[in-house]
Amino acid sequence: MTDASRRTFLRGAGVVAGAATATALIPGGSALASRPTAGPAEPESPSGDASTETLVAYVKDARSGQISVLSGDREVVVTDRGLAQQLARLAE
Amino acid sequence: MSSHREAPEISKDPVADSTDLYAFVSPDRPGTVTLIANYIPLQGPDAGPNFFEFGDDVRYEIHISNSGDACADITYQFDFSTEVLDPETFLYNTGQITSLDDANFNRRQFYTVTKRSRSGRTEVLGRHLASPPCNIGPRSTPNYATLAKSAIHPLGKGRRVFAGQRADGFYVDLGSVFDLLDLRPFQQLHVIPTPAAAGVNALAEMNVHSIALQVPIKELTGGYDGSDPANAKSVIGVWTTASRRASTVQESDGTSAHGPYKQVSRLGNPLINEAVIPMGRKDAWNRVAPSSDSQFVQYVQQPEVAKLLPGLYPGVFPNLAGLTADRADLVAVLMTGLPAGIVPGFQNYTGSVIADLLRLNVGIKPAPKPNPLGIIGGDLAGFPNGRRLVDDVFTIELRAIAGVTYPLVAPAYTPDGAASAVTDGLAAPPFLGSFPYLGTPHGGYQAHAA
Repeated sequence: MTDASRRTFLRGAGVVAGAATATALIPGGSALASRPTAGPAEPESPSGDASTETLVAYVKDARSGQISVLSGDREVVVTDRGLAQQLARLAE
Repeated sequence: MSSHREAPEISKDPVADSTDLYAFVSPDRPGTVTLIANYIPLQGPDAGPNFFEFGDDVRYEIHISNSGDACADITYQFDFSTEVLDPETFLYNTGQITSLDDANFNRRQFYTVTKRSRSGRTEVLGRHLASPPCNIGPRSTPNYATLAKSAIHPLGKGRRVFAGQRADGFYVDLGSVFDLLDLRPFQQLHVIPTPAAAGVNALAEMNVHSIALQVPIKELTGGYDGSDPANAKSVIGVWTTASRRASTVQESDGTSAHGPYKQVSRLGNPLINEAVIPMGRKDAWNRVAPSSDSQFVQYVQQPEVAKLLPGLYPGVFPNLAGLTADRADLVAVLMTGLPAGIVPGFQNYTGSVIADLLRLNVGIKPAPKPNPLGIIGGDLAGFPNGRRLVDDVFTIELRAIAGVTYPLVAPAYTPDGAASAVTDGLAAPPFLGSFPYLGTPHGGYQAHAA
């Protein structure tokens, strides 16, 4: 993986969110209301050559939006509050 | 124990648990240094059907620092893979194993050795190198010593390597030590006295898995031949680590691992995380680099054992009881190395960086008749100048903590007489005279035969 993006997070087959930490930190609102009705969230249109390797996205801190993406022997740490909270909601 | 199950987390992950680290100028090849990192503690020899083996999912490393900052200038990396010839049998071996490629050797391990330099250069020194089987018994692994010897592999440029099961060379009376520090010859003087009894080596019939590497001195020192022990370039710092991938996912058809390797175990000097670092910080110790050890230095300056001895043995350690100053002697011995001028003819100082490294002055020639008490026994080739198999590191560190090394920094201090007598009362087990030096592992069939 050469770059970490919202698309590659969601496209990966092995997405795992740090649910307990993340959900505890999401303020207010109904997680249920934002849960997708069927299947995982669809990514935006693919941008090209994303890896087919499984990956793990670990939401270290949903409030700050810090996410570690683990793929192969690499770790990419990004900050994306919106994505972190979206992943947390998926895990509820 | 030296570092067997020394911290809560790693005690539950034996495959990644470093137990002992040795570094010494090879007595039979004095132009080389032998580095031995042991893993997987307390192996009962009769461990079938699934005998002990290295972890395919663990990265084992031996690090060398030779530039004074306690960071790795050279790292030797060992990655294992397991191959099974016939998965339709439950047997480790389907008959006698008489060679490393014997068709009866059903479950085999191979490994790759990679050398990494601080400059970023990476060199694979050997691929698909065979480990020997475990010592199962006379029917399955006859002539075990010869079989294991065939698993010594040359790596070019005077190097050689062995990775496989060995008899554990560490010796300690665990039963006594962890029964409220029951020590000899003072058992009757303990606050809960017991009759005098001989020491019992708790590891006498146990095996470990060893990674042994023999390397020319110049490769470790950045080209210096070690001809002058007073030269700072004669000193190297050594430590070993084991690492696991950042994430492991349990799936219905197995596990998948993701991300970079993260350190879960490390070892430099013996017994530091074991008996100096407090329980609440042991796991953190295992995860950080030696170069950040200044955060732990207070535990070396004020070692808990030094406070316990006078209380457990009333009247036996009166001078130690009055010694409240920070133990600069222990910091020097364990965390920076001894500067020149402290011990005549010796130094293993690596600079002011506080770091738990096993520091070896390669300019000190091997002793013809090693004294297991190392430097405190007058033998400059022994611990804490690196560590040889024969070194009684438990007694050496115990006596140092009890005060025998404090006069190195405070000449007016008089150690208690007991400080130079206290021990757990053991002698070293037998070792081999040549690489990989650690003894032939105890056989499964032969276990408990006595």
